Amino acid sequence: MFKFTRHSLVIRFLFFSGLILFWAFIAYLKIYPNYLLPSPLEVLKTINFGFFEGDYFIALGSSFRRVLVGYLMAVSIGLITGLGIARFKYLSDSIGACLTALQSIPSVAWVPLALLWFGISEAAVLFIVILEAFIPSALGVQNSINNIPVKLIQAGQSLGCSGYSLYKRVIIPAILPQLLSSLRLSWAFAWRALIAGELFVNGYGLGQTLELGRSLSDMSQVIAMIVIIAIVGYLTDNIFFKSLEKTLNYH
Amino acid sequence: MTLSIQDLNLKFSSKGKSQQLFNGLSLEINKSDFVCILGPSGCGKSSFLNIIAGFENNYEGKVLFNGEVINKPDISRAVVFQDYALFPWLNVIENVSFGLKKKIPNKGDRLLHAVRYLELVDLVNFAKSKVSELSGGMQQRVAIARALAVRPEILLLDEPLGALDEISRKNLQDELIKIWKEIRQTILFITHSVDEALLLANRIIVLNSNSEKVLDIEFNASYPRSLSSSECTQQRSAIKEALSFTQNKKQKIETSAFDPGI
Repeated sequence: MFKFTRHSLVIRFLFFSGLILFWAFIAYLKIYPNYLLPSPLEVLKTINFGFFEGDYFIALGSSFRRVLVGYLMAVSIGLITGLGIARFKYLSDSIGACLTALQSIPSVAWVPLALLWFGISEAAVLFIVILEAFIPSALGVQNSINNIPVKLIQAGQSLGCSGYSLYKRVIIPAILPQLLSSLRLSWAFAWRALIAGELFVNGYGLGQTLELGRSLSDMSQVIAMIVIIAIVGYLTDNIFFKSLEKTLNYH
Repeated sequence: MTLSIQDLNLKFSSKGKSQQLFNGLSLEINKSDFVCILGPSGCGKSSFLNIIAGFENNYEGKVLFNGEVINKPDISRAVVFQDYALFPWLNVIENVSFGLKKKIPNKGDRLLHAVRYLELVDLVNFAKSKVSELSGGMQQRVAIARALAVRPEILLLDEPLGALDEISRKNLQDELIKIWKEIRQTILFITHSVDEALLLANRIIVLNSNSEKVLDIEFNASYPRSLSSSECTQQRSAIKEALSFTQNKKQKIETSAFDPGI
């Protein structure tokens, strides 16, 4: 497993500061006009202003609420679908095959359909998030159940487990570590789908603020949003899910 | 406990060829026997154990356990696998008490009961250890304790010492003999090693590479046994003869991967 050593932290810090310095340098040279490449300081000011004078907190909050609702629904649907396609061959032949095909469609491709069906609304965004995020969960559950060593199931059976108790005491704990990776993947997909969806609808949200930045030609707001989206995505993925994975690592 | 097998056949297809195992095998296993099923790789020993464990139901013939047809796994027929098959999310004592949940609803009582079986395999000090922290030999002892803890009527072991190093194997053989003497557990032990069968069993059933029973002997030499004793050498040559006889009969069409281990 990857470990945070002091050494790698130093390298990370140096790399990122180098990158920002390079950006500041290019911006300082004024090769590109300011509305195309603002300096890091300007972006920082925009972020600061956005949070403390503007509506960035509201945007972040409503985006987070939206993605959480969508994610929880997606995961619930995904888990049930996954259990179903793992248990019944005819379901995996039908729905399972369909999911693999669906997985190759990028979330943006669903936006026009969602807008026509649900209007320019919250529901359209939720639809896209759910559609994107439930697939990794479903396929993940199916895969991890299929990968349980047969002997482990047989051991459970010969020690008195069958039906529901076999699921509760053997199958579910056996798939948990692998399941967590699928849940993590679902989260990443949900996050991407959320931003894609929000670009096209009204209301508060990170995607909307990003799109507003574009329509006002406010490049520093555009970059500020990208930075915030990256930071939030990174923190949820690397801090929340990684620590969960650590506690679930059996070995 | 009675285990009775009559006219057993198992048909299966592998690589598009349909094959048949056991050719109407019949045998009985009695209470408190330590039976070794001995045979070359691919002779169907493991399939035999899977049938008795209840994992394999598509057989023909009668397999009766206490007069009832075996068609699913049951706690009265506990299994020890070659690769241990311990539950990695549970610690040692939780593994051992896994099968006791229905019998002993109270968790404290359940753990107390499990401790007794950890004592039996000398692992009390590792009760709280993670399974992955133990060596292969220790993991297999946990698996044996886990199977014994449910007090099965018959203990089924599928080449349990096959994955272990020489020293752990020797220790576990002694341990099994000790357990068998102490609690008179009925044991069905699958192995491909003639020496292992000679060291452990009081009954040896030999299958040839055609999965036919070629020998079924009582072997009552006292423990601990020495492989160089006259009793053992005598039985060893009997087993070798039984196996080579059937090979000659088949005019050595198939070369067996069987290593008698001498």
